[in-house]
Amino acid sequence: MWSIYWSVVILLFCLGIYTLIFRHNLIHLIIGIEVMAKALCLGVLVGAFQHGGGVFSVGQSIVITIILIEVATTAIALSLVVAASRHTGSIDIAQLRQLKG
Amino acid sequence: MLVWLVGMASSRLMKWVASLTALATGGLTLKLLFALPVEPVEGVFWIPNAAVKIGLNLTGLGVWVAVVAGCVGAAAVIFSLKYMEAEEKQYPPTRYYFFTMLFIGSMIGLALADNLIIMYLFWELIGLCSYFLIAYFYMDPKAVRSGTKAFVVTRFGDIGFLFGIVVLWKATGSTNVFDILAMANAGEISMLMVGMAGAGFIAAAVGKSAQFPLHVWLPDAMEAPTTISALIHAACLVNAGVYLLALTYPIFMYLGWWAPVVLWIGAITALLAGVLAVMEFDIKRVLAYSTVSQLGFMVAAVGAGGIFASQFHLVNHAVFKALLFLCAGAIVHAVGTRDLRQMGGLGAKMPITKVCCFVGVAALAGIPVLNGFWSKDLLLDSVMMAGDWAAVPLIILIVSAALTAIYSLRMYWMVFSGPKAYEAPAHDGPWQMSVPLVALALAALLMWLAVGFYCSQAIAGVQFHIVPVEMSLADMFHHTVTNPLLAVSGLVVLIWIVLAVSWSRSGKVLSVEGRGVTALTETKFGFDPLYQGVIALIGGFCRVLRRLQTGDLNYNVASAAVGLIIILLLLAAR
Amino acid sequence: MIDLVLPVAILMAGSLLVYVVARLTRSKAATGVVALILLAVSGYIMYLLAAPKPPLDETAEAVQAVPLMAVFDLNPLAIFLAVISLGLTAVVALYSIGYMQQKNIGKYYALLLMMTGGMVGIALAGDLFNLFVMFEIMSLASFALVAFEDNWEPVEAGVKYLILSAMGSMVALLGIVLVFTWTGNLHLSVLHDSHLVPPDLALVVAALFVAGFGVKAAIVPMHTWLPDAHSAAPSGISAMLSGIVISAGLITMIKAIGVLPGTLVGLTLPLLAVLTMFGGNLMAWVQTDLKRMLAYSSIAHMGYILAGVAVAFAAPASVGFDGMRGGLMHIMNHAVMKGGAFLCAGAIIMLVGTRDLKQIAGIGRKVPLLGISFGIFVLALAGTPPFNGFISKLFICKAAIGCDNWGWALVLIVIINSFLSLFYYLPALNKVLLAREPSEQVRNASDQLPASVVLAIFVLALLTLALGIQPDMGFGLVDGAARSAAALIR
Repeated sequence: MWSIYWSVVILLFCLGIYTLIFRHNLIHLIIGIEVMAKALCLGVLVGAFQHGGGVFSVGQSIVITIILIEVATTAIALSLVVAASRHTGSIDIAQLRQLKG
Repeated sequence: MLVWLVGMASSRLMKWVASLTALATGGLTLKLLFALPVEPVEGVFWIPNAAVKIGLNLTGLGVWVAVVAGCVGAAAVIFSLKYMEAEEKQYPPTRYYFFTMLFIGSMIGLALADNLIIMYLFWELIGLCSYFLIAYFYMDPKAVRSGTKAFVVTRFGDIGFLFGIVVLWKATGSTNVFDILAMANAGEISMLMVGMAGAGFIAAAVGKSAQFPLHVWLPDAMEAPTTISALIHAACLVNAGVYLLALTYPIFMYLGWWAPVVLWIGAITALLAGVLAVMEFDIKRVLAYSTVSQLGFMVAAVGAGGIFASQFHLVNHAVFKALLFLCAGAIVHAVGTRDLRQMGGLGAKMPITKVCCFVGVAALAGIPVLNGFWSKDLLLDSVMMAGDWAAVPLIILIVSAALTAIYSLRMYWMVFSGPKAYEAPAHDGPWQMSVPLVALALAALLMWLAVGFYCSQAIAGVQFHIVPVEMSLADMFHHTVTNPLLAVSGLVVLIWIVLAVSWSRSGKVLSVEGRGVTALTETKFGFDPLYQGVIALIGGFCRVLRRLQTGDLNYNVASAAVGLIIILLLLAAR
Repeated sequence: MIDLVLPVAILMAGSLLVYVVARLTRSKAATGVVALILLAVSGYIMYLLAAPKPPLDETAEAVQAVPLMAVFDLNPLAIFLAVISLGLTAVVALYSIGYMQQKNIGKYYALLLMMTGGMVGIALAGDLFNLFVMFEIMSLASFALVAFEDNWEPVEAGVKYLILSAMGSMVALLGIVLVFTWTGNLHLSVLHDSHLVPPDLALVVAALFVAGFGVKAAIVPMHTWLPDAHSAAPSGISAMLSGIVISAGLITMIKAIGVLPGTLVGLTLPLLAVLTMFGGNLMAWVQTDLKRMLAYSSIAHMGYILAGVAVAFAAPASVGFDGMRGGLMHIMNHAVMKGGAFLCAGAIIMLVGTRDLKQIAGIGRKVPLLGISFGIFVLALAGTPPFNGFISKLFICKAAIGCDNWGWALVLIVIINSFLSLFYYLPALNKVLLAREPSEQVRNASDQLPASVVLAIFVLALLTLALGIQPDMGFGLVDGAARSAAALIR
């Protein structure tokens, strides 16, 4: 039973990593990170539910905190995307390859 | 007691203060020498948490090296008062005196330290000072390059030194040289450890003392001001390697391979450098190769177990080599070039320098009865006594001694008596330059008289080395005269006479020229291109490696993901 | 317990205060001074807290009663990290008064304080999730700081840094979630003492922690963000990132792995350390940009630090303390010398306006104080005595040799890397100090530096020298921290 939930968590997580590796659009990348974070939220909830009781409520608060952190990360990321699009005229990471070597 | 502190404290003061301090430092080391044997000074904790103590190692071996550094250093500093005057407009003298004093101070510190870590600290400081001093004429890119080269090459040897220290630290739980010596003497250190440390220490000495195959930096270091060359060659830098080997010899003498390796390295270096010196035309580079060659003799003697012969030669070499370098300095100062082919007939114009230089050259060649003769004789004797396995190196060393005679006379001849006369006016230096010259020349002439004193002071406090019976002047005299190796000195004298006669007849001096020869001297038997090749290879590899940083974000994430997988696999494979 | 939150809380609240002050006064100096005062207050509270040592077992019992709350825990390791981060931030805050432009100065100081608050929080955090939150606070502030200047370069570097770092955080968080699911507990010392995590799971979690926090700690091959971010950030921030943020990442990793039982990590960390050392040094070799070169050298130095930590992990019983001591001491020394080197680089940029090594030739001659300090930092980084870098490398080697079988190889690799690093430090030094003639840009540059910049560099240069000549100064701090870190992984 729990393994089904966990497969979903791992699947979502890997989906996120897949996005990060194979997508060239900055917005997609941010969504990828969001997907990973949401997978983990699910994981926390599943884990907390397994234990029940006090642990469950702690799990809930952890999830809310993760979401909070995610929001902050996304906010900064989006502002960077805006800046990047202003400087390069696109949100394709192929345009962000001047720093190398 | 803390002699080196005096050397360092004076650093930023004006040059007169610097020279006075240098004199005081020299005097203090001498005082220390006469005060021997002294009770070793109990160390104070430097890093209490790791039980690293600083103490003083007041044995004869170290104090003699310190005396050499202090006294020759003082001579060099006084000499440079006048010598460096012309350069002061362009190059700030503060830096010069700061690093010179630090240089001398560090060498004394190295010689007196009783702790391997402290020794390493001073050892590196010496390297650092040499880097800045060789690169002193920074307007000349060659100088900067040679300074960097000197630092890098010696640091390459230091890989071994630090490694050896750490291994010995692990093996003995101590970094005190005397504790380690005592434990090695009692056979308490595993041979594997001793072997690893021994290899490391050889590398260190090879780097610092410019032995084969790391001899490449010393000739290039000639870009330094001549006074600094004198310091490097005679007093400070290169002696450190020989001293290290001599000090730690008892640790490694039970290793079967250690002594022969040292002996062979020394012999090969002596020969190679001798050959190069005969072919060279730059007066300072001739002297540089001769230093490399003489250091080869000393290293070989250590390998043969002749610690005292090698250290005696070290002291004598310091005196006559400092003399020769200061002479070269006076000559270059007067003539303005370092090319031997453009000199000649300077004898009449620079009488004091000529006489002093002759004394130095004769001592270098080992003409009786100058100091170089006695110590070289003792040194060869110790190699002969080492046994059959040292036979081939002994022959190599004797050939090198003959080469020494050739190149030393050749150099002298080309400067002072040569066929071409140097036209422009030239004259002896002012008193600041002449006084150190004369003092050193007298020392080179007369120092052998003090051999009894040398021996008695050198063995003071030494516990673990095989100590020869105390030797007086008469002993040495008797020993030398009855020794078959006297023939070597005879050979040297013979070579001198033959060469002098033939050169004065023909009016020509032996000169080996040609493109091949130039290439050989320029590349030091091909080792320069070899090392450059290796470095270029690594550089090329770096450039390839650089492509790995593509700047592509997807790629970055992928590499991190690959990292995760690698770590997982590594952990799973455990 | 609540007291322990105070140093962090002050910095967090302080970041708001600083912003308000900057808005009201519109003065760089006033803002900087307020930031410095806040740092001092936070540090003073840390000092008060640390002075009467709280009995540790008592707090542990109290925690056991309430197993799941945000826990703060004060131990010498925490003090170590807090002191270094507060100290370096203070120097950087001082430096920034002269270095930064007036524009957005309030945001700059606010973010700086927030980042420091995150690091002090990492130091004090007593449970895994709290650790993660603090880690994220630090990261978030550093993203914004890297991309602080609105230019293509900082923005590009910021984007890369953010994406990679966020991914690393998620990977590490996955590990935390796994631990939470299996044990229902997140408290560091409880988990450590009770061995609740089963070995198979611990293996996976360890890998996730190493890879996840390793992104921040710039362990090769997770290092790719570092050269971009360090070279593009304002120099004060480069100094912070390189000097302490990546080290804080490593300490987070140590604390997190501490919850797993036994000597799991084995040879993995030493191998990563070797990779990191060679990667950093060889890549730095061919750089032509001063800050980028220093950034790669930071990777190499993380390799040295990791080497010390790795031997502690590999053989916690015999050399756990020695290894941690070497690693932590190098963290401290690296913070001082690399921080100083980046501040020097910043000062050079201020004067010359470029980071190209060719174009800054001779700047050390024009501004001798800057040149000498730069020389000190670079030589210390190359591990030359009598500067502090040598001492900590020596102790890393000493620890590594204590590992049987392969210890000597690691020692040799550390020393060889130290030698390799000369090949890029010395040319840089030659360019700055011993250049034949100054470049055109340098000739046109002014030689006036703001007093606060000079003072900040001077303080660090002095520390570099002092910690090298009298290493005892640092040992008091490091030894305690090493002891508690070694206890953490046993």
